[in-house]
Amino acid sequence: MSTKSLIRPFGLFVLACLVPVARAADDEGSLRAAAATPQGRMVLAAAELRRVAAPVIDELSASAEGKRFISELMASPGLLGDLMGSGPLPDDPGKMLRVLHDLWKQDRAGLTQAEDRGTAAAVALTFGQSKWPSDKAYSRYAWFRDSRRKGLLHPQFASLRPWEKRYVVSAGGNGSWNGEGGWDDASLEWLRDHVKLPAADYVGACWQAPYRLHNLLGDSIHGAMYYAPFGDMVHARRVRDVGGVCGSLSHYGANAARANGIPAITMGEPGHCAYAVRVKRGEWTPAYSLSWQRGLHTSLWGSTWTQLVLQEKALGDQEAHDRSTAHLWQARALASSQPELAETAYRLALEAQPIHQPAWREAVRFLRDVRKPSASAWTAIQSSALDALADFPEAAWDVVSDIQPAALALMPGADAEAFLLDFHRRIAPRDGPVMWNFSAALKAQADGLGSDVSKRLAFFEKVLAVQASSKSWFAPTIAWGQEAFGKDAANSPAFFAALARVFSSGAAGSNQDGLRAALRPAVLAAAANGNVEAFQALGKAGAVLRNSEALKTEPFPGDLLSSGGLLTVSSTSGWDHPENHWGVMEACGGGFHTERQVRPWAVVRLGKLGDLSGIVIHDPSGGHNATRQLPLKVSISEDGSSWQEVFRTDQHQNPWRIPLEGRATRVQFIRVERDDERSEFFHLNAIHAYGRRLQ
Amino acid sequence: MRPISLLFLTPLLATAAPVADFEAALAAAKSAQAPIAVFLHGSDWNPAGETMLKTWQDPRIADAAGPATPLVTIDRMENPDQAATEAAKRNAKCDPPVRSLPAVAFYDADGRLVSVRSGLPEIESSGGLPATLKGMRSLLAKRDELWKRATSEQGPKRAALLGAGLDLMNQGLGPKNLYQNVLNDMKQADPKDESGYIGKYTFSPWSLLDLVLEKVKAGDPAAAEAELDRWNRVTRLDKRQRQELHATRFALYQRWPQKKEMARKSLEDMRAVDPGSDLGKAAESYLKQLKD
Repeated sequence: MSTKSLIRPFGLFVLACLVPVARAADDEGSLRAAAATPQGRMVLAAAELRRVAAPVIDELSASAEGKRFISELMASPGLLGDLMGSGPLPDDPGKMLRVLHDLWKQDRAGLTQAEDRGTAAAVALTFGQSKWPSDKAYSRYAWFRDSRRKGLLHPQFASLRPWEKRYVVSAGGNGSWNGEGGWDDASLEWLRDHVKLPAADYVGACWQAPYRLHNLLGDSIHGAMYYAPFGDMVHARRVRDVGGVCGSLSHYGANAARANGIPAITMGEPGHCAYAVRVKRGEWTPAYSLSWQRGLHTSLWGSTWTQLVLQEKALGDQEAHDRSTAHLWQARALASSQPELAETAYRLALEAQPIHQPAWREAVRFLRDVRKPSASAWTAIQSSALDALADFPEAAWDVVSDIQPAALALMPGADAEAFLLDFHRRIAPRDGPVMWNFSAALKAQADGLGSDVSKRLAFFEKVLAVQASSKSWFAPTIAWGQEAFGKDAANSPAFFAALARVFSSGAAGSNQDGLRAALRPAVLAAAANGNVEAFQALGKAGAVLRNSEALKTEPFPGDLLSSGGLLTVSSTSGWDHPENHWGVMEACGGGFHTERQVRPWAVVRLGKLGDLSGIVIHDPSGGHNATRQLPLKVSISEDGSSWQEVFRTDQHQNPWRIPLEGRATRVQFIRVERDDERSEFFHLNAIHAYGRRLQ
Repeated sequence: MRPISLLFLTPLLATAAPVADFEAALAAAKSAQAPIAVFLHGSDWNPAGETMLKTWQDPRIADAAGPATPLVTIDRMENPDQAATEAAKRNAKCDPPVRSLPAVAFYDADGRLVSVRSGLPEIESSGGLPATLKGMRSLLAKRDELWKRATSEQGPKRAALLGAGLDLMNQGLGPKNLYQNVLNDMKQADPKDESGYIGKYTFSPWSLLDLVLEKVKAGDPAAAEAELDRWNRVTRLDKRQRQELHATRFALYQRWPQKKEMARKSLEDMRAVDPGSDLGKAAESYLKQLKD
């Protein structure tokens, strides 16, 4: 039970010879040698396939034809490599093998050509999932094969590797097969022929279909009759012509890309369905996405955006990933018979590709269940995992969260806090690819310390001290602390005292001053980092500091779409109270105040994507102060980068009411700015957007 | 000097000719009072567009586009080089609502979109690229003839000629309501809408549906019915609009217990307008499901 192999610094070892693991893997050298060459990896792949699908291999081998298939498969580095080297196998590997056998029977010649063989492997890996219908696999394969051969797909499809094609052939609904009349092959054909765009333009393809909660007959999208009367139409066409809400629109966009051979996925977000398109190798672009809280409907590694980015990087390095995967196969084969050697194989897998996150998780589970490391060994293992994955904090947390319960159970209480803080020290300087559920991690860590509030508060204070300099994690740390301690009357004094100590505020002991001191930098950090959730949590936390008198306003029709959004301003100043920024977008009103500057601005990211009926802007200033906002320019945008001016004035007014009916049909951002060359302050009390939600 | 320069220009503009970009096409079209034909493709990703590009580059395409028509080719590359990036900036004003490539768009001499066909199936269903261009050219000529006649008319007759011109283009008031000024002209000429065209070009089934839902919620379905009746008296609604109106009426009666029995009749009316259309079939399908 040494566990030292997994924590040894990664190093290079000289390969002695190639020895298939199934027969003679009895030391680290032979493990390395077996995985070092493509030929050796094929031997390991065959062994792994037999390990996971032996009954089906035996069953197929019982017939002459099946035996020939198995024999050809095992002897074909191309086909076996495509199948076994394209990311994790589906949950039913035996079914995957049956699907491949069926494809082989029906198109043996096709499977000898690299492009079609890769498509076949991708189809087998997809339809090998227990929820996918194997009897539909051939038609899906043949459809992509024939579309490619006829030149009807985007040219990039021909160059996709099988793992990349898994994001194409899995077209359907919510990551699953969608039956006849849904996102089926007929819809794919229609989309292939009617929606041909440059890859990056599929990000906007969803808007070819109009957002409509009710169809023309008044039936709601949530009922059965929304599409039912239009049964004569191919589903894709009826979504375009009848309409839909986020789910239909996102599936239209994603499946349009896939139908043309471009990888895409749909994703669940809170109360919303979005999608993403792989616009080029290594670059996934979210589409119709309104939140970082994305649950991918199709993914090789897991359901988070971080995992999508990480697996793209890992599988993109084919040689490293192939070797890492081969060592994983060795480890699994040895796990029960030679656990010490299995541990070595896991270490080699991680050495071959340190960012292979699923390998980390598998290795940690193996260690926990079989090797049972000591507390100090767990500390070292966690340190190694953080070395490898700190650039992807969410992925690192997934591994650390597997380690933490086992480690804490063995650890003296005095060591626990330092063990938990190591995660924060490593990720503090890194932003990672996307925001993630950081507060859940903090909660899990605090829970690991037990129910003693003083211990939890002490931990919070130390985390805050570590993350105080972090662009990404500072604001969510405060937001979590406020939620966990600040709301509780019994704990809030200690919470504010902790904040005051961290911010070296002289206001310790006064709740409101402590809260202000904490909120101001946190609100600005949340805004700068685009973290809507933290901004909202902090904004609501600051409610006690605001004047409760509601702003008097005359709204435009529809919902207050700015509510729940995020305000970013071009600068702050001594007159600015960031705790009031939240109210700028809410009915209650708030305020911001920039520094003296040329062309100051404020950008509101709306709480809801919408079709605007109008914008109302409040500025109660009088006299000279009222001139600071003029000339006032207002622009709108869907993506925050491409702007359309909708209003300009040289006249002060309170409020400015800007009707926009029919002129701002898809808006997520509003920019309000002063458009001249003066270096002057800029301040407003409210930017309210009204209209119809599009999500 | 002036006659000489005109003589010099005339042969250049007599036949359709490729121009460098949309900016140049707008200038040439304005000068020659000619339309603009645009072909959009993607040379580094769209094989179907490359096949059609050959047809577009055939000298005979000039005949289809018409005399003096500037021909613009816009290459929507995925990986544009410097020259293509510069060209894209010069073509930025050409942004027809294209759902698929290749596409062809036709603009009038003022740079207003007249017609667009997106994707191979649409272009092929119009008879191919030359026939599509001929059709667009003919449509524009007819529209301009109607609008020319409108200039010498007043009142409802003028509005009717303007509306008939919009009808030919079959794109409502166009992207971003670019023909709003035509509607304004119609409203001025025919304030009581005796031609029926103002109703036709302000009809919005979605606004009506919103009204129905709102009035039902407010307990005043009769007000919604009155509004639908008012729209039903607009004589110029086309078949699709008439079906949409019946669909909205169906939505109202479905939610109005005292008149629910009239819902079926609304569907039957919707079907009767055009049984073979998408909405006619939808009505038929709904009727069957009601029966079941």
